[in-house]
Amino acid sequence: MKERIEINSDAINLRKYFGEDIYSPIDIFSMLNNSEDFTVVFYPMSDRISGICIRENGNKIIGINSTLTYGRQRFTAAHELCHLFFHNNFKSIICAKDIDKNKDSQEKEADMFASYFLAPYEAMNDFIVAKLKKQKGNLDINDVVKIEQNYGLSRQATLWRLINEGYLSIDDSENMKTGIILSAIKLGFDDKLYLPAPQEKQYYTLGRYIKLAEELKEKELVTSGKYEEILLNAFRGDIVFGLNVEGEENYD
Amino acid sequence: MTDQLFFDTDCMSSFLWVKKENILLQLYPGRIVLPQEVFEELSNPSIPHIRKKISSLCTNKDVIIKQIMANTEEFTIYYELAISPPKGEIIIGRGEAAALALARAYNGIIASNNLKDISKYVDKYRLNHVTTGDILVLALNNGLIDESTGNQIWSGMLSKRRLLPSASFSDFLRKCT
Repeated sequence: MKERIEINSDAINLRKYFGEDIYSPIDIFSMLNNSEDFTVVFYPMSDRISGICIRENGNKIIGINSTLTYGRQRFTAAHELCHLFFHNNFKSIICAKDIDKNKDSQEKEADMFASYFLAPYEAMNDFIVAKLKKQKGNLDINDVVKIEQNYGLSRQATLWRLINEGYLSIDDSENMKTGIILSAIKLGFDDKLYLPAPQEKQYYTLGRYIKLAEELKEKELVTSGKYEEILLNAFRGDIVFGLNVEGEENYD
Repeated sequence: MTDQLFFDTDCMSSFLWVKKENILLQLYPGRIVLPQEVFEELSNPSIPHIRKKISSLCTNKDVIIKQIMANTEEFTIYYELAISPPKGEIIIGRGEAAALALARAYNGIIASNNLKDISKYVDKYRLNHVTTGDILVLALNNGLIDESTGNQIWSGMLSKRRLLPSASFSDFLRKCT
């Protein structure tokens, strides 16, 4: 397995590849959608699985377990990016939910990569020292909330990272594993990070697949019925039937 | 000829979206058939309220679900239309292919709005064919709706991107006469 410093470096390089700097929080799903060759499928999976990735014929497909929290979904997307860009000799990988537990070296590496991709080492260190004015060993629950809110990390991913880097002890982290939403909303934050996708968005597809479907239609390579079938296979009834559009759009 | 109507997804969904499936039930009691492929498309998790409605219609036996079995005439037609068309022919949607194949095998009527893509098969298999517009005209003639209601229904269907041939029901009526 690569050293942490090397994994952080990979994460920073991939951020640059996507046009992201090394300090800013990133909207990973918009980032993937803006890239030409990714398809992201949100789908309710078993609670033991965080996601999957498939790489075949130039297509990169990421599957996200949409029943997990939004923060965890972001982490999963970054985890799968590690497989797609840095791991060879696979067509598909199914990834377990628990971070770092009994995993092989590639999975551990992908977890660490995801953490550094969403919050590079230098960026998080600066945030803790300069913004929170804290040192290793004296972080409290409010600091943890601010860190995870800033970088869009799930609580599990945040605690795992802070313990790994010596900011937090395992003992201190134990009582931060419950009352997660309350700890955030008491500080005035939104609870979106800690909730699964809403029911109507648990089945959803973004990215290349949708663009290709539109291309097929525009070039008249498929019938309108086939086009709608292709979109429904991607759970995009909103495109087929124009859901939530008329009368609900705002131009502001 | 049987009097069963084999609906594709577009035609059936146009009535479900505007909550006017009762028109179909009143005009064609016991005669509405959904190919399994159409049922599956209407059961898509991204349209949960349509999924619920179609499930309820099936439970109440208001619609019949029909599967295409292997080694049947309908399977051969379906396979050629939706899976592996002859060279130069375009693949059509599984729902409309299944509706065409079953209508042909059971000498039924195909209910579809997709005239552009299926009319040649309607001719080839000598099928009877109705569209959403035809059904609404029948509803008007049977006193189930008036023209104004027809226009409201039509407008609702258009807002759900259904394949209707004119801007309003009134326009459609004028074209029919």
